[in-house]
Amino acid sequence: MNRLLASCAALLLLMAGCPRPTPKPTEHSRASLIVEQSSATPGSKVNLGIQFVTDDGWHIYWQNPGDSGEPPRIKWQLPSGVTATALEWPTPMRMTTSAGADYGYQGTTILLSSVQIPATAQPGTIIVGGELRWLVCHDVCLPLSTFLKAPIQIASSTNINEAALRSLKSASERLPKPLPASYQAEAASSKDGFRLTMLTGVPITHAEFYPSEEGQIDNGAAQELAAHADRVSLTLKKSEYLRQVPQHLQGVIILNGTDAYLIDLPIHAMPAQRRSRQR
Amino acid sequence: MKTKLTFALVLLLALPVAAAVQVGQPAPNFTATDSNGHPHSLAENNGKYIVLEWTNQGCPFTKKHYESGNMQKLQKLWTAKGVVWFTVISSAPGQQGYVTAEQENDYLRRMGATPTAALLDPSGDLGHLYGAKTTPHMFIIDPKGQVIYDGAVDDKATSDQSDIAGATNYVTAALEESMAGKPVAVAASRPYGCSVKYSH
Repeated sequence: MNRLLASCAALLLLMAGCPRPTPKPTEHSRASLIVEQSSATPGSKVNLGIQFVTDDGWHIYWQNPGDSGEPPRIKWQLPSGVTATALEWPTPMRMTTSAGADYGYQGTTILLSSVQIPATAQPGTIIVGGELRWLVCHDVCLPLSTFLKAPIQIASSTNINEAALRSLKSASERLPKPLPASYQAEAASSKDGFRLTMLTGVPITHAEFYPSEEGQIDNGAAQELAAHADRVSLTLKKSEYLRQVPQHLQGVIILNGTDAYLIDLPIHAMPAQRRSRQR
Repeated sequence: MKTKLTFALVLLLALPVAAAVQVGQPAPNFTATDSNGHPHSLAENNGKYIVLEWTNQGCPFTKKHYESGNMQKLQKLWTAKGVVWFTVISSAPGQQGYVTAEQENDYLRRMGATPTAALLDPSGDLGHLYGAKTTPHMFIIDPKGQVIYDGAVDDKATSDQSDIAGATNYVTAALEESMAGKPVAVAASRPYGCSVKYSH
């Protein structure tokens, strides 16, 4: 980070828009906005990252915080015609609490987004940013907020900020990937659980599912992995607060502890006669 | 493929339900002492609506509802209609939210909070009996002693006070519906907040 800031300071005379430290340092977790391009052309897309640097022992939350906590939220304030894409979240980790389990991040985390510059944008400097609110927790939680902003020069050529590009690239490698086309996956609902069945063609010794939606599964319950011939299944216990079976099982599955994939599967009901045989 | 999959599905075992209390089931009886040293129990309040509200003064989600006056407003509204409102503190000594009786009475005065009583549960027994997970976490028991609501105070799971205005309050909705003889539309919801600071 120091090297990043130093190289950035050196470049400041030449270009506007380096990764900026948070305007107001806050306790236990600091946020800053990383912008890939210091100058961009009308009609182009500029990649951004909201970087959190959180003290040891503290954590922030994923889009689904689990049984306690709250995800970071940004209210973008963008020039007219500029739009931001939905945040992309790196693969989270599971943390056990007295409430069950939470999902979040420790250390340095970057949430990714991008802004679309309108084709009609006039040359000059625009400011992108927004009001960020997030919760940082240890044994106790602190609500934090700050206003993040960064300038982008609208010009006839693009100027890449190399340090920002590297940060965002390494952040994008921490995003869950689409499920490989050769993998087959199905989700089914029973009275008390969901069952995720996968055919991957590779040995699966460990699997863990993180639901995108709150209140679908019992976050603290063990997820049972079982092998059946050429496929594996993962049994997820339903949340006691689930009111109706969702149409889709959406989230991230981590296979063998390292490979994180996005899944979004329609949920089938288990056939009635099968259900009765389970009892 | 299909056959194998269904075969796999057959192997799924029914999972036991681990909820401490269940909506539609009788609420477990308890006895607890309030911040004025008075004992309270579920049994002695038979025939009344009872609200249980788990709290922790230091939790940002509790602060959202107290610093805005939202929780006090609910307490006033519903105790005026004969509802028994127990605020419960299950923080263990040394943990965030733990208070002595005197500290709790001081807090209630300062915040203008008027629950029927604030139950001190430093052992966490009452919290564990009900499966209280977060602060806040709300339970409602009807005059027949059945749990009619278990979950969040409202549908905006944030620590931001500005979200209260547009939120649907599940406690008010459940009490209004039940008192009108209607089924409670949202009888369970995912409670949101800080984890209850039980002793480890």
